[in-house]
Parts: sequence; C-alpha cells; structure tokens
Amino acid sequence: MSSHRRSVDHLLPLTPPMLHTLVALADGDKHGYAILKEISRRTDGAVLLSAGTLYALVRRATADGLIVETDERPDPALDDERRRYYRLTSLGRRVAAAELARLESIVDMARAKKLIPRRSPA
Amino acid sequence: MRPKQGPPSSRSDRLFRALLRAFPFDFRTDHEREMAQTFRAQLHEARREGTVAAILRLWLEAIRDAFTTAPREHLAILRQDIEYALRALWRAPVFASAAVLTLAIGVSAVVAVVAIINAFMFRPLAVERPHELMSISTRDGHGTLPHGLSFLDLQDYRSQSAVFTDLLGYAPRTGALDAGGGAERITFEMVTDNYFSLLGVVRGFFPQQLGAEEAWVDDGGGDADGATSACSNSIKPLRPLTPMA
Repeated sequence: MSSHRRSVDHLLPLTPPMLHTLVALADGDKHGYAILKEISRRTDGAVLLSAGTLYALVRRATADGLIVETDERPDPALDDERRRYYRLTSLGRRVAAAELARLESIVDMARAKKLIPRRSPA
Repeated sequence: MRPKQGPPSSRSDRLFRALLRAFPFDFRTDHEREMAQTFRAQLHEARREGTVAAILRLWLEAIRDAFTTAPREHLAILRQDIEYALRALWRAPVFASAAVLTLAIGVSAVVAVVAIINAFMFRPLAVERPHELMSISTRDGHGTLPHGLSFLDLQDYRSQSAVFTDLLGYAPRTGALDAGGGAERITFEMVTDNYFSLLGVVRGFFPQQLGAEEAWVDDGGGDADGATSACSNSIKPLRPLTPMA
C-alpha cells in the first residue's frame, strides 16, 4: 500500500460538514462566507454551518493538508482584500473522492437490499 | 491606496466578539476577524429576510459554538501540544529521562513538604474535639525553650486546676521489644491512665500498670498476639493483652 493511500485512509471517514466543505471547494477557491453560502445553497438550506463550526473545520482541514490558504486573488472588482481564500489540495481532492466512493458503496449496498429504490435510468 | 475599512463596530459585533473569547487564543488570532466578518454577513442576510427566527437561529448557533466548538478546539490544541512534546522527548531520550527524573524529585519533595505541613498545621488531630486541646509546658531556668512538666507537677495541676476538664501526660521513650523474632528497637510513649478516654480514641495495644501510669507499646503494626514482649529502659516486661474493641 502506498503512503498516499495510507494518508487518505488515515483521514477517513470524514464528518458530513467536512465533506461538504471539501466539495464546496472542488470547483474553485472560496473564502469562508462563500463556502457557507455554497453549502447552504446546494443542500437547500438543510446544512447551515455556523462561523465557529466552519472555521474549526477550516483549521483542521488546513492542519491535515486537505486545503491551503491561497494568495491568489479573484478579480479586484469582486475581491474583498480582508477575506482569506482557501483552495482544495490534491490530497483533499483524493480524500473527498475516497469518502464519496465509500458513501456510494453503502448506497449501492442499500439499493441491492431494496432499502432504497434503484436509480431510474436517465 | 488606503485599505478598506470595516463597518463601525456595532453592538452585535461586540457581542459576537465577546462570544469568540471562549475560543483558544491561537484560534482567535488566526480566524477572529474572518469569523466576525462572516457572522456580520450572515446577520445582514438574516435581517434582509426579515424573520426574527433567522436572526435568533444565528445567535443560538453562535452561543452553541462558544459552549461546544470552543471547548473542542481547546482540547484539540492541548492534544496537539502534548503530541508535539512527546515527539520532542522521544527524539531526545537522555534529556527526557533527566527531565522526568527532575520532575519526579521536585514533585516528590513538594508532596512531602505539603504532607508534613498539612499534618502538623492544618489537619486536626484524630481525636474527639481536637479544637479544645491545649498543650502545657514549663519555662524555667533549665533552658531557654519550653519543656515538659514533671509527673508530680502534672498530678498537682490535674487535682487542683479548675480551668481544664482534665489533663493527660505523655513521655516518648525508646526501647527494645522482643516479640519472638529477636529484639527490635522501638519508640513508644508512657502515658497517663486517662490518655485514651480523654482523647476519645480506642486503645489497641498492651496496657500495663506502672505505678500511677500505664504504658502502651506499638510494635509497628505487627501482629504480636501471644508474643512475650519486653522493653528495656527500666520498663518492666509488658504483658500482651487482647486489644480493646
């Protein structure tokens, strides 16, 4: 087993708020408030993180190497220079993917046992 | 170019920053400004929605963070510090051993001193009404320090004084005790016959009449049932008795 694989497994499973945070950063750098908004929007308000919870997650994800603070700034017209932007690292991407695969296998198992209906073909 | 200035500090901003004080110092140093900024934006949005419930929910979450997330962060930082310290000690075993030894000696010394101070100055004697006990000593031309009374003086005080309920006397002695396994040097006390009754403690050893006094000898906690006890120092051989209940 490679050291990469070991480090990914070591960080699993993720808590739902951590997974949401990593997924929110998957399509680009964001500051804290944008992460909150993204999570709230994508879950139709079902997941509402507080500022304390979010920055505790950010701190832990940064310490584990899942995200980094980036110096790159967006368009100055859209930028608020007091904000700090965060970026998903390659490790963070692999960990999020591994967690989603883990959840997917559980969902597949539940489908096989007819606990939830099979997905209708698109 | 002048940096952008934040909005003037409002009451809600000050209240939120007060709640943030529950978080560890390092955490606040890194994230306080951003958290306040995020909370301000969330509050602004909740006010725009115009529902009291949204504003209330936001404040409840901020309070909950102060009582749940903040302690968790304190623990996380503590754990991180401990892990770092252990790793550092593991890398330098000689230093670690010296540090542990120094700490052990220091802690033991402090514990011993505190135990002695506690026993002599703070913890009451294990007798009935210890606060009523007084110690009487003599100060005369035999020395600069107070010293004990003679047995005759004690008898006089005991029979003539109306100040005290009663008086007892004791005198430490050393001697040898042979409990069957060879003579053993012991420390014991000669005490007056009212010693145990006045102190309200249960007598547990071997009394023997010595004129107006009785002596009890403790062999150090050993089981001396049936043993033939003997004491030097001009005290007659002791007669083992069954301890009183």
